[in-house]
Amino acid sequence: MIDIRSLYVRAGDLVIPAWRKLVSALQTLPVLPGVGVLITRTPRGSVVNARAFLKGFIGAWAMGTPTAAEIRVGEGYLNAEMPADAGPKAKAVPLSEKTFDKTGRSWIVLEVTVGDDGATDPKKTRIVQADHPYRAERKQIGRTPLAVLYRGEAKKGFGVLHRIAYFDLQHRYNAATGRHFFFI
Amino acid sequence: MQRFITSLGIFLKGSVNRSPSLRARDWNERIVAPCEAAQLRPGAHSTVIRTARGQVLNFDPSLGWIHPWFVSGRWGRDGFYFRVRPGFVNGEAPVVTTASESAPAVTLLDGPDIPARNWRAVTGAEEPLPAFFERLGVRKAASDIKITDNGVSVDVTQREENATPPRLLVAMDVWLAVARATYQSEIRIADPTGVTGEVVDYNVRYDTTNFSRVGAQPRLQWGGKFVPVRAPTLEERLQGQFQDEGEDRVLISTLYLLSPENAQEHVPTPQWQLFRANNCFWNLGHAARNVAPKVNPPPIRIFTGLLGGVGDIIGNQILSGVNEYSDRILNAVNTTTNEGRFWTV
Repeated sequence: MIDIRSLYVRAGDLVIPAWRKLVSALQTLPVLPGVGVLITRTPRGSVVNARAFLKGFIGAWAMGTPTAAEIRVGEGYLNAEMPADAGPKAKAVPLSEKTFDKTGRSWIVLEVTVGDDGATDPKKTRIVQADHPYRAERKQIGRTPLAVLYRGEAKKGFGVLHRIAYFDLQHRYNAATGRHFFFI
Repeated sequence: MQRFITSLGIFLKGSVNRSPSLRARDWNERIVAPCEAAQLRPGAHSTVIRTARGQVLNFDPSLGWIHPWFVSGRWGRDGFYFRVRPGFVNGEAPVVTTASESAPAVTLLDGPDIPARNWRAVTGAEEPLPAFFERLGVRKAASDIKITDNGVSVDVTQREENATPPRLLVAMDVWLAVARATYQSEIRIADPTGVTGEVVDYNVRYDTTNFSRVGAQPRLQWGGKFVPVRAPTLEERLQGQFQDEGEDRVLISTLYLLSPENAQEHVPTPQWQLFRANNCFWNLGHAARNVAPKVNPPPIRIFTGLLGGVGDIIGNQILSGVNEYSDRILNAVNTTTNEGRFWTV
């Protein structure tokens, strides 16, 4: 690729060699459309249209970095039902600066409880803060992480939130092994 | 632009013919400076790829949204560095060892700059050359296949020899590895003569060596070519020949560096341009096939062929035992692999 700046000459220099290079350099100047770009050439100029993603992607279980000791969780569905702690009308999920592990991480988890028949009980589904992404006290309780708060070596504050789940979820329980499966 | 080039060519031709003593100032200000100004420069949320045939204008589609595992790169003082937007496997961000193998691992949540290493040349010989890069001027290596055209021998991969100066391409893979337990199966022939009838001991041992060594946390690895984990066949599992690596892997991204024209060696410099082919866009779940047993299963002892098989004719009642062994072997074979699966969450 020719550097056009190299074509500048000083008084007394021959122009012909630079002129030959210029012809090659000119070949590299036309503007070509990339992915998602449309260029319409008109007598008065070229019109560039681009498919812009101005709003970005939000997805399910949306959360922002908490500014107080609570966090609001956007709409999300588990087995086609929205938990009471999610959505615009839900109360904020309380947070504690003590619920962090040794490495400065704390998870916002979706917690489900299964009955004796192995079926998910939608009334007992809730969103809580935990110091482990999926470990729970009892076999019948299953957890899946929705987001993680990371404050690193800092001992106070809630740090930065990283979202983990972006889609509505389904849950199944294998009673034989005690394993909870969350999937989209 | 095409009209500009055409009119400039006419102007130049006329100027050179009429006035061989074109002033340097006119040349610089009226000809070269407008050409320099015609070069596109990427601003916010846009990229420009310079090719021999023009400047390709792209708008960055990630405006306001960057997916997990998104890889970005930059040139540092001593080489190329990349950074991975944190993604999660079972809610855990991977750890990465950026310095040496013995250095402590850091989490991706800390946003470490990772030094790239083991770039491999992509010439179309050992791995396919993506058509995208062919269009940008990368040529396949000579294939040694010749065709004869009007008595002239032509290498089929060199047919565009004089079209544009060649560009070179190197690549490097970035992948995730998650350790898990394995099953090691072992066959011991206790009495090959068959005199006592005890022929085969089939031991299945639950092995957590790799799991204990590197831990349960997912690890980010990079450099060279990604090698997928190969699942053992039923035959290999039955014969106990397969050595399970004790981890599952998934490709995150392939980074490409494209050279300027006329580069001679596959050694990237800051003039080389970064492209990436992401393979993973969402956070992941991972599980091994089996739940860890509390104790290793007892060995399966198989009795066959009393007196070298002669006894089988005598005792038809043995047949029921053989069926039972068959069931037990089938059951063992189905559990002697523990390869895991990744899925999107």
